[in-house]
Amino acid sequence: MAIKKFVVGCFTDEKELFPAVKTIRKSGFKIHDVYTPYPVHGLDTALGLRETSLHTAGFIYALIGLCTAFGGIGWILTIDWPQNYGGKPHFALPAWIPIMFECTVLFSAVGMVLTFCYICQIGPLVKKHRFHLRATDDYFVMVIECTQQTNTHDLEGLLKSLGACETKTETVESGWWLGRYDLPAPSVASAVIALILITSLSACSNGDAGREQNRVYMPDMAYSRAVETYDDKEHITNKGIFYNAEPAKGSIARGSDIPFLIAKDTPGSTLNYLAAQKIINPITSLSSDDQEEAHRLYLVYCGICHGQKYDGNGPLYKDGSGPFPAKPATLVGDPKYDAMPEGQMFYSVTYGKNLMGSYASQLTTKQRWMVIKYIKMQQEAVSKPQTNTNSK
Amino acid sequence: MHLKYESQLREPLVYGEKTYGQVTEDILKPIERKPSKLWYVGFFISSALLLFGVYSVYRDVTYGIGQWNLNKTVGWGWDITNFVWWVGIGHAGTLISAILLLFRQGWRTGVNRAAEAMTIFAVLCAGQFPVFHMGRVWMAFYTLPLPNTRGPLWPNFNSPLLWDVFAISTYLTVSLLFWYSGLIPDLATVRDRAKTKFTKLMYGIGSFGWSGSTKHWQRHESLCLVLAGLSTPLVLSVHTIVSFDFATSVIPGWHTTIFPPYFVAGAVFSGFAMVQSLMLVVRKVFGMEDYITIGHIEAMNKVIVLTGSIVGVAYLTELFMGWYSQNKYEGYTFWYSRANLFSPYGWSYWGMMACNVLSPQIFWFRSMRRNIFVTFFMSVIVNIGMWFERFVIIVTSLYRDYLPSSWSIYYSPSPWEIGFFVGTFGLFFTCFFMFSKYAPVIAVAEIKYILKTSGESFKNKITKIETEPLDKFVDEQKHAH
Ligand code: HEC
Repeated sequence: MAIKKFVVGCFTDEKELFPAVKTIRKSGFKIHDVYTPYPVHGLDTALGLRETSLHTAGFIYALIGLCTAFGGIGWILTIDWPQNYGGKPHFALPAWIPIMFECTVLFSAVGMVLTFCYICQIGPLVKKHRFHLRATDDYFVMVIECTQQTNTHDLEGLLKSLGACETKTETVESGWWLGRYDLPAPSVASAVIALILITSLSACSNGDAGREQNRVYMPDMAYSRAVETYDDKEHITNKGIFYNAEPAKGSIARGSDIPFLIAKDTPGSTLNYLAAQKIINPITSLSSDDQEEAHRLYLVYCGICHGQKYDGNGPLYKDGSGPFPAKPATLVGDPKYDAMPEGQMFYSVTYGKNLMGSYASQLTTKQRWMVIKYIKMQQEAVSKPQTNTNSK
Repeated sequence: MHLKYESQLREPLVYGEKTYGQVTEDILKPIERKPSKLWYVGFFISSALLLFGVYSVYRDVTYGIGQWNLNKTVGWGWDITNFVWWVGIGHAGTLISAILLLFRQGWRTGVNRAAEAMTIFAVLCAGQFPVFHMGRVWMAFYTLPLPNTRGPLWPNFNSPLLWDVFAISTYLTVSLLFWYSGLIPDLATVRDRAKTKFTKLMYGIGSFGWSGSTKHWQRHESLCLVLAGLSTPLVLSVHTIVSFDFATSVIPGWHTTIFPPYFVAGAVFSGFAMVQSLMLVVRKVFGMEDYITIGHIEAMNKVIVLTGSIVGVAYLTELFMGWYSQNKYEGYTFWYSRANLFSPYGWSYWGMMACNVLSPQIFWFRSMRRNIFVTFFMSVIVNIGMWFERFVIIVTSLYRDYLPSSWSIYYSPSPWEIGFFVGTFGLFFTCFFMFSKYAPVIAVAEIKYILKTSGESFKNKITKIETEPLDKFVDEQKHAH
């Protein structure tokens, strides 16, 4: 390879560098390059370098990215895999814009950086000849290429007179500007080969031998920690699994009635019993079928004490001769019970009243309200007989 | 005592009369010396956090994301909150390096390198969350449109979640390229000053054989300018797309059109706060007070008060629309689930309001903007507030959905959920400690570039202009044209 000779002059300030560049070029010398620690504006024009067209490359890469994204998504969503997403058109351009934009930027950036590395011939493991190590620190290093005729001594003198603080002459093998590998090629190659060997060896299967090991790592969720159907909530909690099995407070199952929110009184208190007066019967009227059903329920569950005629004289009491010790309430005809709000009646039927037990387990909420409505209708039938048409 | 006139308009970006050599010396000091005890302590703590995070993630992968306390309505909890939070933090780096470069804000040079590094590490942390949220992480490649024998089976390009995949990965790649291409000349500086063979070799590889040739610098400048131009819309698009994850849904509290700008402002807001926290520590620990000046801190505080107020306007707009729309569900979400202090998560909403909207207002006062302790305190507060913001948006919109019977009970994270978050802190700071030890935390070449125009000598020039009689100045300007 050819050997070339260079004269190197170091400057410490831009202010001296620019006139020096001008003078050297005017004197007919060929400036090989100026190495600077930071981008010095205007130096490229002073050296007669043309504009870089790297940005044009960036624009082209951007267009490629845009077309790739548009073409790819378009082909996938309209031809290869025309999925129906909620009835939207297959060709849904607005929804593709974000990805098209991202690809535009990605292609442009990656393409430009690679191009930059390529045209500057820089990259990992590339080593370039450096004329002065302080070119990356605080020196502006001007390198002039010599010809056969150049008197290096005079040139160095000229540079000194232009303000160079340090000058020298160097001979360098040409072709170096392409850079060369920092590490000797054989060692790089052997490292790569060793890496390939190790990966391929470790990827080799040793048949079924490996399957016998009873050690498992990352078992792909083989051991389910999922909640089993109808598993007990407490059991799940004890296993340390968070599982929110409870419905939200106050939620009502579909089709069921509004719950009776008043709790049973503590012994000795009538607070809730009185509060129940305010609760309104959700059933406002009974159809004839419902009346028949309510009547049937009454006879099955209540009539035995309260009597067929609602007079509190059922077979169990029979004017005191029956086995039941207390007189059941006269549900129709007694002003106290005629005036009793339905909510309060409901309370008594649900939680019991003195010797009368709770009927919450025999009758559903709805049935209880129905029976109470029915009793109220009988009370009205007696107090206002003219409007009564349905009494039985 | 000197009675020299000081310019009120512009202060120098670099303090003290410095030479190029001194700049190199100052900035490379941490690399060329043995790290301090403090560095070791910090590094040890952050790697311990990282290990805990790795263990949490290990449990998550082994047992599935049932390890987290997500429940039937709160299907996005801490994981997505943390994701959005970290992505947001990343935005300041790009904003400083790209948008401020386009706006020709000279002050960016002091902080851009570290801010860009912060961006990369933050996006790296952010990316973990959606990936591990997938449960079976080894299937993560299903999100990529790879030619396949599964069908054909392709990802849904119309889905904001896929947009996110593209946005985040593009953002990470472009930020990395931008950061590294800026780093190459500085690594070359380290290489050329290296004493040992090993450092020479390592920095030789890292600096790509950079020589500082004029032509290379010319291309380098063009590259950086175009990358900045690309990053500017990119950074806006990334958080816009993240906000689309929410805004394109029909969940009250998410389904709002102001999300994109509001998310971007919030991202810049939290990002700058994080830059402040980091830079205040860096400048103290590495003694870089001359390069990261009070002027830098003040400029960033101005951005914080601006973006914080934008975010505040967005909060109020949401509340207003919650009422004005007369949409029952919107009203319930904004006025009951959020603004009502006594609702189950009311504390998080008001925590967010206090940290993000009210407290940054103290930066209207110049003395507060230039106070280091206030700034550091506020930077932490703002980041807490921004974390709350994401938590509020996600959890308060989800825990009471359209079907009251499936309303979930109070959502609070499991130790492994917290461990994952803590682990990303470990990752972030481990990376940052490594970076601050092995790479110049301030862009050396860029500081040298502005040294003459914005350093102490610039100050002298401005002082001269400001003290000379007005007629003379006008005269000079007239002749100059
Ligand atoms: C085993 C007998 C018995 C049966 C069966 C019975 N009751 Fe009673 N009931 C009583 C007695 C006794 C009282 C009076 C309690 C008191 O006030 O001390 C009473 C009182 C009442 C009262 C008034 C409660 C009050 O708050 O003062 C209502 C209303 C009533 N019963 C409704 C019903 C209905 C409806 C049924 C059928 C589901 C029913 N009862 C079945 C024994 C019975």
